[in-house]
Amino acid sequence: MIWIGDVLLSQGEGGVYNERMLGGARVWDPHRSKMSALYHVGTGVELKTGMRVLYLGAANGTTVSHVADYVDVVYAVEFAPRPMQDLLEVSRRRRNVIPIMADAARPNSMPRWSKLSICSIRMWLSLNRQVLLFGIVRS
Amino acid sequence: MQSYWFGDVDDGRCTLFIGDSNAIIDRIRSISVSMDSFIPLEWDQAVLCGACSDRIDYLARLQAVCIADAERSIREQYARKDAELLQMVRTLDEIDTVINLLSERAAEWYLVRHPSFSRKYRRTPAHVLVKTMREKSKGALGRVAVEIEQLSETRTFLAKEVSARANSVMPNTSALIGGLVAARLLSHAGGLLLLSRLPASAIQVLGARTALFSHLKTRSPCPKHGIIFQHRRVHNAPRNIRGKVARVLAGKIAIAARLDYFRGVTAPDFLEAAQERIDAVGKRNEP
Repeated sequence: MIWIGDVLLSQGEGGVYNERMLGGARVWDPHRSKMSALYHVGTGVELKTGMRVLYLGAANGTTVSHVADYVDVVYAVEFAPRPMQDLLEVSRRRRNVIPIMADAARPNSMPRWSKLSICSIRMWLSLNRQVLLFGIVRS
Repeated sequence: MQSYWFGDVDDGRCTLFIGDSNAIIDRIRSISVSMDSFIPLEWDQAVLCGACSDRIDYLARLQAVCIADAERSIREQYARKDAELLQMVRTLDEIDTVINLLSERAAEWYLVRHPSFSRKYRRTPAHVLVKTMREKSKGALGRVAVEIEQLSETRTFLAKEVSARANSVMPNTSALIGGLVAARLLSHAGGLLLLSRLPASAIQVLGARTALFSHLKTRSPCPKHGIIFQHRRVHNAPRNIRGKVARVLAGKIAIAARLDYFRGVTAPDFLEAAQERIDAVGKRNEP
């Protein structure tokens, strides 16, 4: 993870949500992103370059865009159409964000996506691959 | 045989799927295989098949397909007839709030400019007061009054559109309680599907959230009616049977919402019977 002092940064194209830039890198604000807050309290999972991330509950793609700066690819699952519009905009600008419109709570109900070899959690875990599950669970 | 997003693989031999993005999405949506027999895909397999040249190309193609599919899903969800009605009725209610706030504030301002003015002992409706403020005020206050009047016009216009749209989206519910109230119920439930799934008891107190939760948490009496209070049968009913009327009405609305969602056309027989039942509630209790 990239830190300057106690500011968390990620290296990528800026301007996703008018985030502050510092030395050409994007500031990952703990007040805007719970995942950044995790790193600030010191319990976040170290993101590495080769990781393939399945991100459940991607919402508007704010956090997703930062995760995508660090890792190889992010499969971002989101269910609601309104935030999906924003997420699509983010993924059009980043070649390693793959948006998936499906219900993450019911992986079996999305046959078309589980066939894409990417989306069933069971499948991921059974293959023991390197995977980071970061679901922001609402209520 | 295993089917993947770019084609089928059978004993190491693969057939690429060729077609435009619409055809690809149709194909992806039609694929269904149980997870037990499913073999996960490695991206280099797609390269061997000739679907893409390298990993970057693989991701780019997969992303294009995923984006196109998501775009189509969004379009399908927004094309449902209630999606726009939801926004319309919420805008309407918000304009109401804005008009009220602005005219209250402008009236206070006007009072300061005209110390002898008072609204006591006069029955001046708000819009008349706004009109006098527009005529008698110079500068910014006059402009604010003009804005309020224009906003009121927009509100009237929007209200008509909401009514008309509600009549076409939810013909039965609208026939029972009127387009505007029906649309408000829809907005509180969050959509026609959600409204049609609500039990009558929930519809009865829809829009009385504060009262309902204060009832559930403390010992305060439970709310008898929420939005459906706006129906004349409910608010014109004598206090002691209001709850009863609201309960019957909510029951009929629940049925009407289901008719609207699953049939989408008027059901005259049901409407007639429901109306009769609702009208009968009050009479039975009369001495």
